[in-house]
Amino acid sequence: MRIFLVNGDPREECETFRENFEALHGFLALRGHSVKSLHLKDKNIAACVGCFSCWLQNPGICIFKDDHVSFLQSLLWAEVTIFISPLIMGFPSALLKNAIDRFIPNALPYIELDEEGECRHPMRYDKNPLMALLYEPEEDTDEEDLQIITTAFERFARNAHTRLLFTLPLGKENFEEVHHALEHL
Amino acid sequence: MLLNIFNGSPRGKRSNSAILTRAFAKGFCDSRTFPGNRFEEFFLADPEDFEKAPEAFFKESTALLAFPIYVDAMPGITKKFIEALEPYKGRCEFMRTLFLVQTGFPEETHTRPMKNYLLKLGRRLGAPLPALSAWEAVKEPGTGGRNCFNVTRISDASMRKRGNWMKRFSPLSPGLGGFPLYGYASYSPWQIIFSGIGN
Repeated sequence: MRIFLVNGDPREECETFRENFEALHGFLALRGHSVKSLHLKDKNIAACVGCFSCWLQNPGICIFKDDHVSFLQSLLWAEVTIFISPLIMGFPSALLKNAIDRFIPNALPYIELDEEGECRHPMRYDKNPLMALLYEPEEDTDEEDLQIITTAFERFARNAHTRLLFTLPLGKENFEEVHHALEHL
Repeated sequence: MLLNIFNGSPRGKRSNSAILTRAFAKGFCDSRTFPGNRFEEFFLADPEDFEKAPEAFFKESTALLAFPIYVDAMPGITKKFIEALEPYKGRCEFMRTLFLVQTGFPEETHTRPMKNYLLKLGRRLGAPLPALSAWEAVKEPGTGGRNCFNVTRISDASMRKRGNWMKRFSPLSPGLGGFPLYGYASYSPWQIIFSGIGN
């Protein structure tokens, strides 16, 4: 299976996070998956300015010519995309959110009704990957926080015409569970 | 009383959020009834404003954080600002926080996950509020549908009304407890979420 791992950790020095991330990459590759990783911190990715050029001027192409192209291409390549980020003030990082904000070139500006009669944008391309979220909790992370971030990412997945597979803490003890979820789609 | 507006839209001064908050501020600072009210605005998309914003946030005031929904949550720049408020976690008991969230979609369902996040954020910052604070969904089509790129005049008038209504409550007013809690309206492209002392 083609799996895209997105590292949204903004911290300069956090060995544990990076180690866990690399370990997950290795673990999935060892299980026979084809894995791509993107470390957002090392990339040059401008913030979306809401100009809608990618919808109205040059359809599907952002005005910023930077490293974000590989993010969009990898989303189209992957069968599953796993967003991996520490929680900061109860939500995944701004670094990750910046990359997600610039997802919209892959969507169309039109609005259609989905099967439940709710408005959403049609997608520009046939298919988006299944999505999942791995987080590093904060000291005060509680059930409510997890419910909130899960709902937000479920909404993102739903509006990208796909679904969220799981929300789990990032850690070696959960690798088998991640693998299991990928094997039983 | 000071109304501190933090505009989290990547479009900054040209944003629909700014149109809504300016109308809100106009109502809030209506000098006929409350001559002492004034407002300040920070555009987080402007690097200079962004730098000053976290410190400016932490003072006795009503702070209004306004942003559009970008891919089902707050824009990256808004999240970056919230991250910069981390030092003030649990210490904002002397202020009131308001949030304004808007989208181009006509339904309120797109903003609902953020409503829950922001209520929690209010508590995180130390505004003591119960499980549900007063929350108002305005039941009129505004930024949604065909007016996707322009906030309508109707919104302007109704924002002013909301601002006017809000200004009656000082940051330490116990009066906020009495606000009605509306059900989820099928048409409410933007909403204001209140939190703070007295709720």
